[in-house]
Amino acid sequence: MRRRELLKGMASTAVGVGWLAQGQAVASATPCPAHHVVRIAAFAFSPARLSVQPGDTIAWINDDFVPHTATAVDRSWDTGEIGQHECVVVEVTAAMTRDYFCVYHPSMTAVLIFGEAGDS
Amino acid sequence: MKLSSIVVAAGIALASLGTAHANAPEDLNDLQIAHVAYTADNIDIRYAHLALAISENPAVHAFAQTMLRDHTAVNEQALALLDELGAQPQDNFLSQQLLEQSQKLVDEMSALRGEQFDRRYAENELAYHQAVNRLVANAFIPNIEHPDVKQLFEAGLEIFLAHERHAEMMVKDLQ
Repeated sequence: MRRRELLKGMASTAVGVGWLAQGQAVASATPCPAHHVVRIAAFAFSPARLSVQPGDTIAWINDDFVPHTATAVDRSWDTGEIGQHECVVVEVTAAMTRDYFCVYHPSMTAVLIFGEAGDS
Repeated sequence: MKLSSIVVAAGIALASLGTAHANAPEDLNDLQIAHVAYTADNIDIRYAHLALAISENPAVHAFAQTMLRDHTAVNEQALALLDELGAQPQDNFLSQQLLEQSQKLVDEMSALRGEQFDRRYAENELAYHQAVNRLVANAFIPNIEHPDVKQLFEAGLEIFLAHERHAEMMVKDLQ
């Protein structure tokens, strides 16, 4: 699987726990970044509603044999073409447009939800 | 021509093949069905090239580029599968009928320009995908014998249904 990173590298998946240099676990004041996966299959984004926080990363993986994109509806962010079995990773920012779609197949739509826990 | 008339005409043209001739779409074997699919893909690729050459509308161009991209991908998958199976697609009455009808449409659309062309192309894409999707869903998939060929057609139908939805959007935007 060929991977392309758009922005920064992938973050760890640990949530809500920080570590001191001495190895003691403490509760973090802010959630640690999470890594999410959105699969593109049968012309749909799954999950279509994804709960995220700034600093998280999202990996779109295309399981269809035609290419797709994940593109903000105002074109402010865009994964570019994602071919079959390819993966593109984007870092979530606070100002990021929530609604997105596939430029090649505009009936494919999805949304990023800020401020809710868990994926829908 | 009204869109509803185009859809009805396309549907009748495909359905009448079963009543006017000895063979019907349901009677085709897997290799003949593969040939029809390959032909149908190439017809839409041809329409897409025509749209890219004549239309000046960016949305029409975007749709045509998607048709080129996707139908080419489907054909590549189909040919790869047939190659794996050591088989060749078989020409048949339905492929020939589709080609004959498509030539008439190419001749008609080639004479149009501007918004007239765009609307005719969009209407034809919607009617074409509706007719082909009905054929694939009702006549082909239920009768395909080889499981890998059936799976390919099921995946193909997902793609063509997305094209139908996209064509619907394009028709509305051009009205």
